[in-house]
Amino acid sequence: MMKISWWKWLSVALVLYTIIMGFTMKVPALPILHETIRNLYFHVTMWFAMILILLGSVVYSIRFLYSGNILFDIKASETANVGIILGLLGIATGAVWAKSTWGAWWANDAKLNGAAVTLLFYFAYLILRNSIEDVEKRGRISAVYNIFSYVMLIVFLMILPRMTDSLHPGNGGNPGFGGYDLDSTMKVVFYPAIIGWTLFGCWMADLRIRLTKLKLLQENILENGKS
Amino acid sequence: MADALMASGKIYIVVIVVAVIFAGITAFMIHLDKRLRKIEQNKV
Repeated sequence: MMKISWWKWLSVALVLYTIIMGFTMKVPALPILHETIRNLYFHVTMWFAMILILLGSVVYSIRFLYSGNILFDIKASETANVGIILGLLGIATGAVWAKSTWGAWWANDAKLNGAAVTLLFYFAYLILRNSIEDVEKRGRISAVYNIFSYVMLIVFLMILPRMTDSLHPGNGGNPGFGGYDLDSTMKVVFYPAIIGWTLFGCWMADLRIRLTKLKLLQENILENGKS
Repeated sequence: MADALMASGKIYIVVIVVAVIFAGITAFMIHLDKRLRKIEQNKV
């Protein structure tokens, strides 16, 4: 019997919960933000999910370097792919939110530029991977680069924006949303939302990993057929 | 603000619309998952 894993159902349940509660639950009434504070459940969670999924990708890269098992290389690259998609969604949704709260789609801000630089590091990862033909070599070089990228992510997304002035909440001395959400009502939706979107991203990665595995298997079969 | 939006009662329509879209995406994912599993079982 073909069953869908429990954690996939959990991701669906949590995202559905996020959509329903995210739109209907009471939120703190604040100037400028107004109803857009609900973006916390959608924009901010994209980034949290991205950071967690890319961390998973780093773990797979390290496991590949230890074992040399190509399966870990596939897992590392496909989870990174999903992380990049989430990052792009984070940038796009952030631009929309910035337009309504700061008055511009993009500001020359440490957090925003840091996010852009982080994504560029990961675009370079994709290009690096595609430029190496040899599977073993590609695995090792991209694994090392993946670890380096994540260190850069921490620097550009978490450290540098906190050290300078920034418009972005949680940076440059601004309070994060924990500071606005004084009675912690938003956490009831926010935390499940993070888990839900992260697991949904894992599901997307799972599909891609299995597809790539099948593709490689097929290629081996084709090679065997030739010889 | 929030209260006015809730009082109109129509926000639920948007919630349902978004939930339907997400249900569609989920159905797509499940379908793809099952198709992949079918191929995996035939191949390995």
